[in-house]
Amino acid sequence: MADYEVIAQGTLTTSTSTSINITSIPATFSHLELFINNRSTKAANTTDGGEINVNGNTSSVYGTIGLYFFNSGSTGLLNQNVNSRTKLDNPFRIMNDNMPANQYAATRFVIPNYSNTSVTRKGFLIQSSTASTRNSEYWHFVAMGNITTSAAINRIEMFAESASYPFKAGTSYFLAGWR
Amino acid sequence: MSDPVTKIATVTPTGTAITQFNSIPGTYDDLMIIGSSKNAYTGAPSFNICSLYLRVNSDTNTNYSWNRWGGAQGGGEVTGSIAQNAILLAASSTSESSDAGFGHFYIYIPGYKVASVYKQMQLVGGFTSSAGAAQMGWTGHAQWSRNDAITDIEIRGSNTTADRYYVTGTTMTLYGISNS
Repeated sequence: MADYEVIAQGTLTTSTSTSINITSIPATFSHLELFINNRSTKAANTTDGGEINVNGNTSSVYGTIGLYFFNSGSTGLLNQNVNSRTKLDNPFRIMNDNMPANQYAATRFVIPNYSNTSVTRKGFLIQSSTASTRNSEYWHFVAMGNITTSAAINRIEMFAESASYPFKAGTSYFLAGWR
Repeated sequence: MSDPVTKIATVTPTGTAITQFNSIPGTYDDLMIIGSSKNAYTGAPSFNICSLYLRVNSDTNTNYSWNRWGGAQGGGEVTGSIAQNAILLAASSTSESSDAGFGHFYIYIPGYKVASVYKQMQLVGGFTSSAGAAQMGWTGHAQWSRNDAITDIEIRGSNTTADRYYVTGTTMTLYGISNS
């Protein structure tokens, strides 16, 4: 039994999905690690933020705190109080479709103690970035997203910016467990 | 080829216990620690109160340097310190009455057994508290300015203050990473 295992992975072959839903996450690991490399169908030469729902929970139990550097060296604070949102709001960046071709935005999440019911607020440690040959559009983001719940995380759904702009084919993801 | 990841130990300290990973074998290339933490302090949170204190090989001398940048309740924060007696990780929430929070972190230590190299650590973490109070998400880096192989790691809930020891739910796991 390996101490690091891929739980789920995939690559979209069409440009029609507005969410990636990973279900039935087993509680047999200690921690999770999630990657998404994505691009949307939105005709814009910018980047935008996606969203994440955990366990289908749509109550106001989410928040995110972090800092980002973007476009020509500007900085910004993402400061959402705990229990102020109904999803993780902007936890990963999306490359829009007028950006240079074949270039996607990468995000890594580490989710410590995701199945420990004594941990009453789960955390998503976030490192998200975009870089492209359009050098005025980039984004580097470090943050912690949080969801106030004792429940084990058994489902993670990642959403595109809106239902109007599905993820583009080639978007990929994988979820792994640290035993 | 060996498995790339090996779980070495899990600790669940409570009360006056200290997180200790002892007798770490020298059979891996890198180390990774992933954890969640909460302390018993019932007052208002702050960066220092929500910090863990990491030391290596029982070294209490001023051989540690660390820095971090990230987002905090009051704005962006960039800070660090050199020649300290511990590495500070702002990754432990308090037990303030309405605070359901936990701090979370991971630490990656490349080349933990390589001779003649000061040991480096990549840090990522954060903590939350009750709504509108202190919280932070950050990344950082630390150095232990010694050439010795790392064989022991301790992470304290507080440097000196007894009421900041860990509470139930605090859990940390040490992994060995093999690159070949």
